[in-house]
Amino acid sequence: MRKPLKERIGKEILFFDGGSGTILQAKGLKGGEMPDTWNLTHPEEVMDLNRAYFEAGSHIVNANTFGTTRFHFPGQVEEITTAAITICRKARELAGREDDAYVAVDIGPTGKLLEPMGDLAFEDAVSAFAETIRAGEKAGADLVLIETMTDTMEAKAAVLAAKENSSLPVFVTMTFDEKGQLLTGGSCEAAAVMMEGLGVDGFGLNCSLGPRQMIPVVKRLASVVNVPLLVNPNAGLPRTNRLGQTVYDVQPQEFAALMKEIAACGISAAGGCCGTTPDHIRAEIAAVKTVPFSPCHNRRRTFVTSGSMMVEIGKKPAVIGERINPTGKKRFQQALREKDYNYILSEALAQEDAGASILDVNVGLPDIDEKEIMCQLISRLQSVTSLPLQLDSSDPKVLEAGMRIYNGKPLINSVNAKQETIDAVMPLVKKYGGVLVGLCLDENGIPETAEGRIAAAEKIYEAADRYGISRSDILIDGLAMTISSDPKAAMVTLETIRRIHREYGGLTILGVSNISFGLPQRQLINAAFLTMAFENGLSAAIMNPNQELMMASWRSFLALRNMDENFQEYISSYAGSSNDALVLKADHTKPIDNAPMGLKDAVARGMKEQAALSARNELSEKEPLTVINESIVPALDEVGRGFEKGTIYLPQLLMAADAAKAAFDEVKSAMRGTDRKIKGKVILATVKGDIHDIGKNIVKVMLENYGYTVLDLGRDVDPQVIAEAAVSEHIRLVGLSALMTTTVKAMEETIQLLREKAPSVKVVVGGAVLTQEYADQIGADHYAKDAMETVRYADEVFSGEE
Amino acid sequence: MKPIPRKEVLRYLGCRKKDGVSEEAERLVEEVCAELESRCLPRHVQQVVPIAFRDEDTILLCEETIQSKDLFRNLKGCDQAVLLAATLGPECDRIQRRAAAVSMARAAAVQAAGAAMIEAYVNEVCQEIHQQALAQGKHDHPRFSPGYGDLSLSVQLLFSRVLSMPRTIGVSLTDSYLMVPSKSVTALIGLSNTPPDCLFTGCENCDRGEDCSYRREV
Repeated sequence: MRKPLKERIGKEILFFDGGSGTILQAKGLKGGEMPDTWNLTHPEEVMDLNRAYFEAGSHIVNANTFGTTRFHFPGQVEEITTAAITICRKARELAGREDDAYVAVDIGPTGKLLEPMGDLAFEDAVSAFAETIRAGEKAGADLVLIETMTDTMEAKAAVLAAKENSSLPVFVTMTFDEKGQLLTGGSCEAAAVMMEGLGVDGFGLNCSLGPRQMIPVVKRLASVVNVPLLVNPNAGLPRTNRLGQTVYDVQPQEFAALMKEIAACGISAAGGCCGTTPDHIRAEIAAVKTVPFSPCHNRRRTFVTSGSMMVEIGKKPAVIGERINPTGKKRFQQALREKDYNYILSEALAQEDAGASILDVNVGLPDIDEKEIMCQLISRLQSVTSLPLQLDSSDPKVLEAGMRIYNGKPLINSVNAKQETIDAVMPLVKKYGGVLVGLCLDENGIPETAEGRIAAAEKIYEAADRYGISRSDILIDGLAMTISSDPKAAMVTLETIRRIHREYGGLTILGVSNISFGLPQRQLINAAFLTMAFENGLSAAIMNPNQELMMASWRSFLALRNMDENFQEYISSYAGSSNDALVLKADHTKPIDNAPMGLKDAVARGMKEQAALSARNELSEKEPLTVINESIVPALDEVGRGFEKGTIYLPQLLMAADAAKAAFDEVKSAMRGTDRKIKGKVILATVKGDIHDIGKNIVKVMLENYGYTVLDLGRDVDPQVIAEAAVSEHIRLVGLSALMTTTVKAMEETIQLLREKAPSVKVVVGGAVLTQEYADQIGADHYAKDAMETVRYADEVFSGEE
Repeated sequence: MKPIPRKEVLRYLGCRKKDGVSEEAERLVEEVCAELESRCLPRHVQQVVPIAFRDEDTILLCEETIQSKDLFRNLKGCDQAVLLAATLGPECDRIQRRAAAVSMARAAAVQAAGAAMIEAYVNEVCQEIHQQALAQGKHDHPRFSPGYGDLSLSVQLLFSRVLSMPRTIGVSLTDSYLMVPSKSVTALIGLSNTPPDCLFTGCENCDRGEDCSYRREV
């Protein structure tokens, strides 16, 4: 009787099969043909291939389903998958391996890129993989092997599909280059940590590299994860022969010798990929079997990751930026309500530039759809920053939605010792992976003593044990409370941190800013408290990285504690900075008196920081509307006219627009409610099928500067969505952009639909391939050759309104 | 690879004459070019395939037929073609999105510098192909990309499949056959045993004429 695979993996070394493409080609498969079709047309040949690997000694043989998804075989997935699994099972029987060998339903990449970079929705990927996996399990597969993945999000979609639609063990192998990176830029360690978090039964690498190039990558993986490691190399690096065919040169004996070396790194399964044959596998088994099995050790390292990088927690204190949070911040709240994501993204980038290593993301406002905004924001943040995120919400549903689409292993903020929150949050962490913040409070509130808080922490640790979450993936929050209302508060917090660190060897976290509430010059208290907390063993601080004094305390601590090698961080931050730099940076909200340049000049010359400064100066003397009408608008007009005349080019026009925007931001915060007069509301969209959006974004910035509100529907937008928005928002002007000749057709369809649903709407079109002639052909009201012309046309359309 | 040609970047930004470009704008372009040069890792994949013809507009390769009069004309006399795909990788797009969050001027400069960089990279690869062709006594024809003239963008599917683009260089196609990462190029380079007829390429071969703001000064 065959033992369940889960009882064997990680306890002995198992062997996978090898390459199939080249072998099937030798049997007559054509270059452009999908091997999967052969399950139906050439079942005997496929069976011979499977059987040869079972006979060579492979424990796990892939059914021929690598490309079987609805994207390549719409309507045929079940038929092809069932045939493949049936063939592979028959081959196992014929080879006499029923007692100890397993059939894998093989899942390769879809070939499509997931949103937000590509156009495949995450849940569509999950459901496509699920279709193949369900068919595979039904036909009798013993495991799911997800392989040759180059994108961690696609691998995650496949893992979730497997876990949610089958009870089979799940193995994942991904494809890295010689530097141990994915083609998407992610590191092998970050990918491994993420997959381990998702609870896969084995993780490793396949394809692209030969065994020699894989050795260093395997060693790196072995030092960060505990999950059983799988290694399926090609027979060397690919080479193109004189006939233009791809060939692999490493012969079975050499392959086997190298695999023996890899086996000694502590792997749990070995096999082969492109160019390897049953002979390679046979030689590999003979060689590797002589190596004593040395599985991964029980490491207790803690990592949070993004799709491309990871941050270790515990080695040295980490800084978590707290600024993406609407609490007490009017401008931020407004940005959330208006879905002004660029404002929030710029807050994120500023914290990254200031030196934060992780960013907290909290979007809790009573009157918004927190779940939707959280997901939108995670996806946008992850497309501009590679820092890992801390998902922060009191609503487990929001946390789950965020964890599902997060690329990496996030920090989760938070759980506490209340049974209710434990039961709501811990299963999510177990399923999706994450490092969990545990607040030291329980059903009775926040304990006043360190003993009380430690008891709460212990309850959280015990719950983690029950849910199968490693204690190293829990950060205990000792809760920093305001000293002005309880002078002993800081002492209790520090004692809690110290005892978790010393007595439990645990990791800790604190939101430090609260401590000084109600006192003047709060930064002074915060910075001192931060240093004290670090000295008591604090592993991570949630704080404002834009406050230079806080960052200075952190950097100084690292330097004093020998955690900053060669003082690199310290010196690169402070070498050459003047004495008042700290003070200046620390309080940049104050107007600066002697700004040398007028606002008008600053905008016209496109000097962004200067424009903001000068605007602040002018606002201290003049009414906001005067600043707009007498300085910003005239400067914009001057540049705009120069652009139209051809004396000024696009870069200057845009730099002026950026500077104007910075000035407007200052005016906005000075106005507090009494808004600038809005000329009108305009929809902008890049049409269906087109993913270029820079032209549209340029037009958006220009329109906004000239006093329009822009409803930006994004790129690749369905005509229906545009028409519906035009109707529901009572829009008078729609701007459509298309870059490709092929997508001008979608533009035409959009215009037709608008004519039908919203006949009073005017449509202005633009984009690299458009001409006046084209615009007339597709029935647009106006062709704008650049952003300025769109502004002028909008002025014309809305001129009757005033 | 060689540095990004700054002149081309300015041309993509619509700066038709060098004077009139402000110091600030030039500094921005310089900064952005340096950033792309240090952070993007261009990759390419290529494969030589036999080709044949039918009628006046049909090319046969890799078990498929391509309909295109313009490509047919370009490949006249060829018995082989190099299928080429090249990309700057995802970092360029990431840099552009980052820029877009804080400054449109910077985003536009990244877009232009990325375009100039991938063009320059593809030109370098084509130069290598030219040398290899010479060494084998072959003549290479000007590169021709899906979307040029009457060659349908859907031909991208063939490139993607034959070159395994997602796996080899990390380039995927959208449903409308656009490539992600966006700074990617596919092209077909014909190889013939006799020199090709004189063929114009680039702006000289485009019927858009003088009204195009990206037109190279001839």
